[in-house]
Amino acid sequence: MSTGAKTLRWLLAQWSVNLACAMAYRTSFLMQAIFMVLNDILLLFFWWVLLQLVPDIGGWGMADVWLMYGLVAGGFSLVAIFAGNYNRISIIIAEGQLDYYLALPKNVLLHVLVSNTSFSAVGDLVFGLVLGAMGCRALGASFLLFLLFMVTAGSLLCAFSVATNSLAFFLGRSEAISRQMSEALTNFSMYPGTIYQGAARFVVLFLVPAAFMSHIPVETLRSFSSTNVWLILAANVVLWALAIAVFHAGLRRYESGNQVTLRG
Amino acid sequence: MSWSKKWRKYSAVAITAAQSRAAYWQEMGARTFFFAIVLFTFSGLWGRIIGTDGTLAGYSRQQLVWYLTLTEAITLSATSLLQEVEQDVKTGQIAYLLAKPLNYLLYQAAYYFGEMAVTTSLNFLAGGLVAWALVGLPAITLSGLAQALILVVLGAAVRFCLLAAIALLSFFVEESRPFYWIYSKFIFTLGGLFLPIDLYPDFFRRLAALLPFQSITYGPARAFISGDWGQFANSANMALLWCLALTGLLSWEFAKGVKQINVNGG
Amino acid sequence: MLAIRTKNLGKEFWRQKKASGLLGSVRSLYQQDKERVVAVRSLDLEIAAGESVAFIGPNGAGKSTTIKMLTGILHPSYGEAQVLGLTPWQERQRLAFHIGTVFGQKSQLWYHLPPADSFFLLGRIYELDQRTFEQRQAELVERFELKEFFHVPVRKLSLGQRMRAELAAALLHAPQVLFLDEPTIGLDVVARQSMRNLIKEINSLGITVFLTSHDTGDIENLCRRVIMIDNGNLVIDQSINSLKRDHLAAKIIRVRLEHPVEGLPPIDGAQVLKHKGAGLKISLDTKKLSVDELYMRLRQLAPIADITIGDPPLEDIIANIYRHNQGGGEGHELEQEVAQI
Repeated sequence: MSTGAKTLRWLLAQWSVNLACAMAYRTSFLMQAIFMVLNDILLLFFWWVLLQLVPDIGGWGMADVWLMYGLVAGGFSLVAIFAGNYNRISIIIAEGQLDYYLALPKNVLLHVLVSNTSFSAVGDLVFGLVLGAMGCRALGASFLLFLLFMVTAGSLLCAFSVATNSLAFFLGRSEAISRQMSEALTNFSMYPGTIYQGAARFVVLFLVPAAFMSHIPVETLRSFSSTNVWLILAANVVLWALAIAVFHAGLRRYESGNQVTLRG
Repeated sequence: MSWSKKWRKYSAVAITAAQSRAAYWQEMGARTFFFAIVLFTFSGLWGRIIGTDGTLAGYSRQQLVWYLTLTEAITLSATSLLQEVEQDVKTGQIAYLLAKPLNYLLYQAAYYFGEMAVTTSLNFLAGGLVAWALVGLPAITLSGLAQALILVVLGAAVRFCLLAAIALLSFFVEESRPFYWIYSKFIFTLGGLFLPIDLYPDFFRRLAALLPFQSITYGPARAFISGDWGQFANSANMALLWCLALTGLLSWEFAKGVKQINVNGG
Repeated sequence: MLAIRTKNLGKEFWRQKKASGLLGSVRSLYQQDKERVVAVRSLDLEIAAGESVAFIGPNGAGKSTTIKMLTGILHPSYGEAQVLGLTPWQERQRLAFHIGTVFGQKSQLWYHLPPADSFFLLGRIYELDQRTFEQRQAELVERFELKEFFHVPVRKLSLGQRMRAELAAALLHAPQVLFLDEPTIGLDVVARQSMRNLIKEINSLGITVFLTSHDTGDIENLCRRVIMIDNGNLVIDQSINSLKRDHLAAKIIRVRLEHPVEGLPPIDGAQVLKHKGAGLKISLDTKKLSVDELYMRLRQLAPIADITIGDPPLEDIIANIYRHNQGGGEGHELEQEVAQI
């Protein structure tokens, strides 16, 4: 068996065990999935009201908003399903739980990420795909390209969370900071790109890369540009390189159970 | 025991308590950060749609950002009411509290108002600084401020009634969380969290005006930026009416719930 | 062949000094006082394949830190280590295929799932093919008597059952070295006995066992060799028998005479611990007084009906060494504190 096949066999086993775990709380899982979809739909209410008042927001209409929400909800759901620990890494580090993963013969970062699944995110996945299909139809955009951007959006969210969560190696308990940073990313990526001007534009491009998660992809879906596609892919590569570098720099400093100094 | 020993003992208790709230401070910092990001985004959004000098249905960008500052300050103000009451009901602790010479609901209301006073003002202070930096200080009138203050208190009373009614549902259903979730979505939409409800399409505007949610967020924030006495009278009347109605509902629910305990207790 | 070899291995932590009190907490927000804490100091070890070694020391001596360095969990501050010829922190994944770990305080098994599910997942993690996996699993279920609870969620198992399953899980991939960190902690007498038997059996199959424990029963029953560290320093590295010999300046002698006596006249080197009628319990310092001489003195009192000569328990020996070392090294209290965290 090749290494790739072995890894795939392991990942499938991992996700099926995650599923078995989630099934222990079946009812709450269904409830959550339904509520998350309702939540997503209600968020659209605001844009619907606003676009009754003004024709567009810096060139963004309702179909653009659908695409934007589709990308973010879909991308988020992919991360929550396949790499559900993305926003728990800092807690895992600070509590010394990394020992478990370090004692096993797999890539630590990958192993940590895939060891948890939020199955309620299936609701968001369906919602994201439906909105994407609606947006693509309205604008005559390619649904395949939408799917690609959904994956890159999820990948950016995951890489960004890995980078910010790795701060726990250096700062100790910092899960509130990490959580707020990834929430800032999803927040920024759920408003039309055109509202970020000047310094704000710099922030969404280089600090909290929401521009690459939804703003540029939506514009690219509206009017295709291969430069943009490459730009988005490059942003993924750069952010992952950064995230992995930070994580591994931190890993050398990992202090296991002795890290927890908060006693008061 | 000497006085100094007593002093040492109780100050130690106080300090330990303050320290154990470290998580609370972190939470507070995180909430402020979230608040700042929302304001930052919306000042960009309104800037894009309205520009610095224009208006949207009569509202300037500055007014809309300050409107949001107040509605968010109210919505984000944390209260442990829900957990407290739920806990009391589920663990049966409420039976013991009932034996004490105080009214359970009034006791919870007092606690809630104390908490709210602190968290809402702190939130408003933090959010206000951000809003000030983003769009400058609005032309606040003294009457607008007074109106807003009265409506915030009335709105807080309405909010208390709604939250307590939700928490007391634990007498009858296993999970009262979903009801809270629905409540928060109503605040978001029909309470006019992001947009004043007079900007809504006709049907939703009329629906929102009839429901209690707008008394919590829209009423106070609208008064804060406009200071219009006619509007104020309207909002205040509505809030008072809902307070009365919901207090009635709450007392009825409570009485029914307490009977439930007796049944359960055999 | 050497299973484990370390040379000059050391680990230091930088720890934030947390001032006590509210003011201290506030101050530590903007002003960070750091202090260096030595966890392990220049450790040299050589352990042959197939050995069973007890790695002991008081709380905070650096035992867990050493195990974590040897398994690749922690990077050392300096020095070298080789486990099965691999440097743990550089070739962690490769090494992990050949070693097994059981941390008594941390579970490898998924809490809400039955052991069977965790075994299935571990089989995939260790890249076992289906046939080997099924065969190994069947063997382990049999030998560790897991059958009756193999499909019951771990949260419903007793601690003894859980630890048996933990140990079995650590052996699924047929490791050559087994690291056990307090494997019997919290177990009752029967469960502890059964764990010990299993570990002994594992070692008899040629698997190297590296064990830390505070239970001297574990150490005496399972290990030939004992390595003690204290304060990050290697204190003792010898066989348990020679440890006893070296540190046994005293023998415990229980004697029953034919008739009751008034007592033993004071002799240098013999101390009466207990005296009741015809029975005496005496602690004998063999450097000052030989067993033979004491025997003669006792015979002078009365004819001897029964006599046993024994060693003081290992526990006393170890406690004695710990006590002896305490206060010797500087910064000891500091490390005690680290251990509690």
